[in-house]
Amino acid sequence: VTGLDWIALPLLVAGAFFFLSGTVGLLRFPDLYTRLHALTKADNLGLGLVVAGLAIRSGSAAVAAKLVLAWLVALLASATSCHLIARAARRAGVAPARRPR
Amino acid sequence: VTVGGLDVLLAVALPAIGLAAVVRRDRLQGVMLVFSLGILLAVSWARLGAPDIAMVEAALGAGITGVLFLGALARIPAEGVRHRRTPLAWAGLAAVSVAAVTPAALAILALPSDAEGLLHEVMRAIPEAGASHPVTAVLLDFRSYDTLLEIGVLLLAVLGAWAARGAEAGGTLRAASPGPLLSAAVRLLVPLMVVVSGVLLWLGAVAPGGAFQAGTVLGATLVLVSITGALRVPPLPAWAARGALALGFAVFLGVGAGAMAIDGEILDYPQEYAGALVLAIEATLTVSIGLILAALAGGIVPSGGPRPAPPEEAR
Repeated sequence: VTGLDWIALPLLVAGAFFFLSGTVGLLRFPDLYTRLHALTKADNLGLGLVVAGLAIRSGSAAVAAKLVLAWLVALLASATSCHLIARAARRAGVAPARRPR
Repeated sequence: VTVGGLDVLLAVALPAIGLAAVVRRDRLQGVMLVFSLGILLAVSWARLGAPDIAMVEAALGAGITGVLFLGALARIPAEGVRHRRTPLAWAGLAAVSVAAVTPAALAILALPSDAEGLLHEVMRAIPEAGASHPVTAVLLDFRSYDTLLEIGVLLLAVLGAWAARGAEAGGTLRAASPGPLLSAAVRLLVPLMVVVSGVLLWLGAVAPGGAFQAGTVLGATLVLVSITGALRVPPLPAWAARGALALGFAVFLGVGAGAMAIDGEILDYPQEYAGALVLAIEATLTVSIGLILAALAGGIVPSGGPRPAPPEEAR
């Protein structure tokens, strides 16, 4: 275990935590819009943290650059698909959940 | 062989998701489960040390097949009557599954567990092949006859799809209103995907990659472009589009026949040109496979046929 591993480890654990919270949100949130929010926002942050941890552990600038590129493409794809699903749902008349009274 | 937690998770999840995809009543849920199955299968292939197949499975099994399913879903009428499966139907389904799986399971169990397969023979012959990556050498050199026929089957599949679709004049994937965000994302992605396709093609000689992976990425690019209409591509004349579809097969066949004229054996490339010939075949195959997959997904319609219906109003 090197010094760099002690920087990478918290990043990886934090990334896993955000993935877990995103999944809990997907299962527990009341409607499509909030579930999308949990899935895309939390998972993208989680993926970024995991990528940061792996980039540090890789010890190679080329591998790190590829990992970051993969994260950026995933960000683009998930932001776009989140928007498309939400827009299609709104046009189909899917109502957001209301706070129970 | 070490089995990790991820392998156990895959072994449990794969049959569960497969079963769920079959028994789910909701068709859209079934299609989404097949998507997930493809992704997990790709991970399984990667865990088995087969990155070539993992890439193809992710792109074809999850990507293009999913697009085909979604296209079919949009065409078939909505479920008016919910079909209830009788106990007899369930029993029949179970019997068919067992009958299909049992011989495969027995065959796998009968394999010697310490067999090395043909790896040693492939590696011994690889200096004479047109590529140093074993998978590419097998696909494009040692067993190139199989690959040639596979491309022929893909071409026939496109003809079949066009013939079946012609009557309903559907076929384009053009979204009713792609919206500014999707169009912008596709504009960013298309150059990247074309580069990735080229890299995969070039890498195929020495590492996992090659014509099938590169062609799939190209096909997905074409599908994205035709969904959004993001790029204004001047429509190809019919002869050019059809020619490009058949180009890979034609070059492959031409090289094979040429080798036969020189050596007397079909597809037995002259050794000093093997590398260049394999690259030429792979490059043209990439273009053709990309076009074929896009055509199968409905991204390319034959010109001269019935015009596609105008896009419907936004839902």
